Amino acid sequence: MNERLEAIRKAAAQDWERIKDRVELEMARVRHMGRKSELNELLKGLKERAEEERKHIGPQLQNLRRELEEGFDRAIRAVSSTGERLSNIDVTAPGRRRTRGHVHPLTQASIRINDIFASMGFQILEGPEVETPFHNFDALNIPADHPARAMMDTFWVKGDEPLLMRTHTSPMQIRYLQKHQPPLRIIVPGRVYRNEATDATHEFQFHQIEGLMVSRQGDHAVSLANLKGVLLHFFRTYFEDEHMQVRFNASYFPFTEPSVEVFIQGTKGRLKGKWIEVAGAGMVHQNVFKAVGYVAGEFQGFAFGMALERVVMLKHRIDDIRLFQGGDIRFLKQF
Amino acid sequence: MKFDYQWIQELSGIDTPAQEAASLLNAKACETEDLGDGLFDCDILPNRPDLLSHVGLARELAALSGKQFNGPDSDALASGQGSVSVHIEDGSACTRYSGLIVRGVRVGPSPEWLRNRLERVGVGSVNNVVDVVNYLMLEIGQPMHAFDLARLSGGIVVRRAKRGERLVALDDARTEYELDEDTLVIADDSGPVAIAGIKGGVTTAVSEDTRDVFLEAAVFDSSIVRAGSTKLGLRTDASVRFSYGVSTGLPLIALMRAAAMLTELAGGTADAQAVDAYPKPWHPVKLTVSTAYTGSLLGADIKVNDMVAILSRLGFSVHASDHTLEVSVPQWRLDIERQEDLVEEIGRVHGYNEIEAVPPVVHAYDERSWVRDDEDVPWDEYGHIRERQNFMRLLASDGFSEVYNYAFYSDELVDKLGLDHLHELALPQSSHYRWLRTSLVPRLLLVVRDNLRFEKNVRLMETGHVFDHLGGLESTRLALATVGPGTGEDRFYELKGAVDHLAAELGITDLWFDDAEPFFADAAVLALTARGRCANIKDKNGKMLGFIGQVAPNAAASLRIKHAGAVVELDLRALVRHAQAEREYEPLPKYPAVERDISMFVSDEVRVRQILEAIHAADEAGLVRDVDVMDIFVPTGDEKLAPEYSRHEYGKSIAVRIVFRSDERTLTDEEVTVVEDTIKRALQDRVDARVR
Repeated sequence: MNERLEAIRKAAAQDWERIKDRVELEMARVRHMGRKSELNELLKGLKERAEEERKHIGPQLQNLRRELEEGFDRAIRAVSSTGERLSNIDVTAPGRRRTRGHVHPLTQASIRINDIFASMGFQILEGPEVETPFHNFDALNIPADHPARAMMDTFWVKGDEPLLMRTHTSPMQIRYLQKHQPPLRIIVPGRVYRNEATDATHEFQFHQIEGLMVSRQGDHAVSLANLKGVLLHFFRTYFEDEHMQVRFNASYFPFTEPSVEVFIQGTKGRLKGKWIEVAGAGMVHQNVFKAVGYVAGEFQGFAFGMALERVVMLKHRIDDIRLFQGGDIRFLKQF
Repeated sequence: MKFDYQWIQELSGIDTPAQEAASLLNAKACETEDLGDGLFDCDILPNRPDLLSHVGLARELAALSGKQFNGPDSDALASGQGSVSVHIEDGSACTRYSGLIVRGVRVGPSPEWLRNRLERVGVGSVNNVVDVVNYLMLEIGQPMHAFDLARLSGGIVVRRAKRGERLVALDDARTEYELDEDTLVIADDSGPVAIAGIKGGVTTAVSEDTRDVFLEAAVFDSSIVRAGSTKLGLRTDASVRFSYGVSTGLPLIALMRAAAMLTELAGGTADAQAVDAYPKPWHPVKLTVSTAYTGSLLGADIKVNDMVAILSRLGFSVHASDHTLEVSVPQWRLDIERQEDLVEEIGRVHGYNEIEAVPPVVHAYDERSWVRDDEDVPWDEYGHIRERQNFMRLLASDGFSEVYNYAFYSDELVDKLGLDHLHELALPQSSHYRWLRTSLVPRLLLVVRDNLRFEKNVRLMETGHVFDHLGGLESTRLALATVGPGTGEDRFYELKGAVDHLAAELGITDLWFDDAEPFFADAAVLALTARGRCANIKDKNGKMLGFIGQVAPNAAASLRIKHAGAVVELDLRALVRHAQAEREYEPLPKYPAVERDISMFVSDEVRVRQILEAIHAADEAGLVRDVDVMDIFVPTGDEKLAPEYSRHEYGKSIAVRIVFRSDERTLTDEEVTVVEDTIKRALQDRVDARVR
């Protein structure tokens, strides 16, 4: 036994002496003192020996282990101290800080949302915020006496020409369709205005994300099932929840037929287990195609609109929409 | 609107539990809240007036549950000559006016079951006659009105009110309404007796003394009722229903039921025939639906048999042929006008949840074929949007935080800055948000001020549209503001540094700050900045990129900003164009550069720009590659007494570092010294510098 211990001692001492590299030294430590080392085997075998023997060998083994540890510590310190040494600094003191600004959470969200849709081949566009009633209403199948006009609480601009602050981003459907031939797919983020009382969930100025995808009728024509697919992919990516579900409820909008309300349900966090309304959508009404001069019955497609603030509030658990406007720096700094 | 689910169950024979029925309605018909105790609150969609009654919802629920609906008695009363004459002046405003006389009624309280039924959905009991009228409105959806026959003089005329006509309404307050041509009225020989579809008048109301009743069941145009209701500020159960739309199929059914109920509950005797003005009788809408198109629009494979079954249960009569369905629309479905409306019926009843999400099949890119490419478009595309967002990230790393502001100026701001020619909202939220902004700067400064409570140095930025000219491509701007302790000059140069950084990032090499008037800035920005401390920002071709200025102390004071500040406003589209311009490769230098520093005293008026011009002008061989201003020292009063300054009356000391380099050879010290001396002489000659 003594010879075995001596051999272990000698081999280790040689390595501690010889090795000048941290990594190799660590490997040597494992070899001499690790779980599979001879020393460890001996220590583990102790309890199977007779008590007499144990009393005798036990302390020897413990001494040897201590000796090896001390030798290793010396060796590793010797290796570590190579390189130039300077006086100590307080590495726990704070780093020097540069004044950092913050990109608004709505901009950050918008960048991400644009990226997701751009990755699906959607064009991203922004349109004017002051609109004509033709683009904002008439062309979207909302004639002058339609109740939806009254419901949208429009800010009209004084002047000879009838102009208004757009109440939704849908006028860009009209502007884009007027100048392009399908197939096409676009996303229109932008600011919209509604003359309604402000509270924790209502603002008279907020942002929408409009989507429009149109194809010819016939094979592979854009369908409601495609709308579900595109929105499912979007929401799963944006909320980083690959099992998120999307549901449609029956609804009504003048510029879509059929029309649906879009709900999402997450599988984690605050969105877990409940259906939350996030968007309005549907298949583009044929009267809209008519208004932009398309031949009736040649095209079909989907459109959707959602409030950017709503999505961002869900994502970041913000409970007051008014925080987005007016720029309280204590709010902005959190993003 | 409140509905009694027990009542709906009675009418439909459905035994579905309330919660289940509510979720069925939610998914497929209308937003429904189960209030408990068998009561529903339903938010009926604007295109579904047929659901504004218990029969309507019963029919819908039966169809959604896959059951055939057998409604209550829907026989219509016969019509003929009544003893009251009816004349409709405007056939588009009133599409049907039916009336029935019930004689010898005893007006009194209603039985308990009737009172309960009304009260459960929030309608107060009045008397047996009024209660029957309200009951039938709730049950089948036909609003009616009961007149005291004895108090009507002459025949009924449905017409527009004349300006100045008045009517005291049958409400608790007995409000008197002044009417005009925008409102439709029911009139007798004496004048208006009711506001059509909205409210009856007091003079002809049913009272305890009433013996004979004239019941009106009419259909008024939804727009005219909506307009009248809005104008008079009067919303009633009837006006809500007419605003949605009422089917012309209902009046005679309602009168038939009313006759029976009044006979039973008030002991009256109804005439055998109703008077019925019905200028354009209904013809069913017939539509052809392509089954392939239905499947294509929904993106689902629905069997033709299922399509037929769904439509039949909803009350459509359907004839299926090879690829199409011939559909006849029932009278109560005012919303069904085209093929797609039927696709929606099939889709929602089949269940949108049954429709699987399918990724669209697309071309990798759209050819973006322009119908018309001869015009500019009033929108920005992705490249612009992305560049702008990059600017924000860059400026954030420079310490600026982005804010979003309201797009309107307040009266106070417009007044303080003396602005005019602004566009104005017709009906603003308040005087705080009346005028369309033409610059981002004013509100940005106000937000800066508000944040000075929380931070010593406030640096904010904003991008957005401004409204200088309307009805086309709107200008988009980027504004920066910095406010805090220290001098305004410091703030000015801080912002100038931020602009330089941004410009360098965009590859704009020759940004130029020009303080020669005129200044091309918005009136609001000019009002907020100090002359002598502002400049137009231009690119090397002299194109305007924006404006920079120190906040004028007076303006700061009037906005209650206690510190010095500076602002910049840039034209985003001009910046983006630069950002997107291609950068041309410049060969890497082959020979080393030589640097020389020159320090000089110059008078206060000499500007850095003049010094740079002098240096470049003297460099005929083209060896000067870069000039950096290292230091500008402007002595204060005491320092001016120092011998160096007092002797020469020079205002400031400037140090520059000049980089010399040739593309053809390594420059010798002697060569460089020759050019350096030329430059020094030029500085003496041109800006009267005393080179140290």
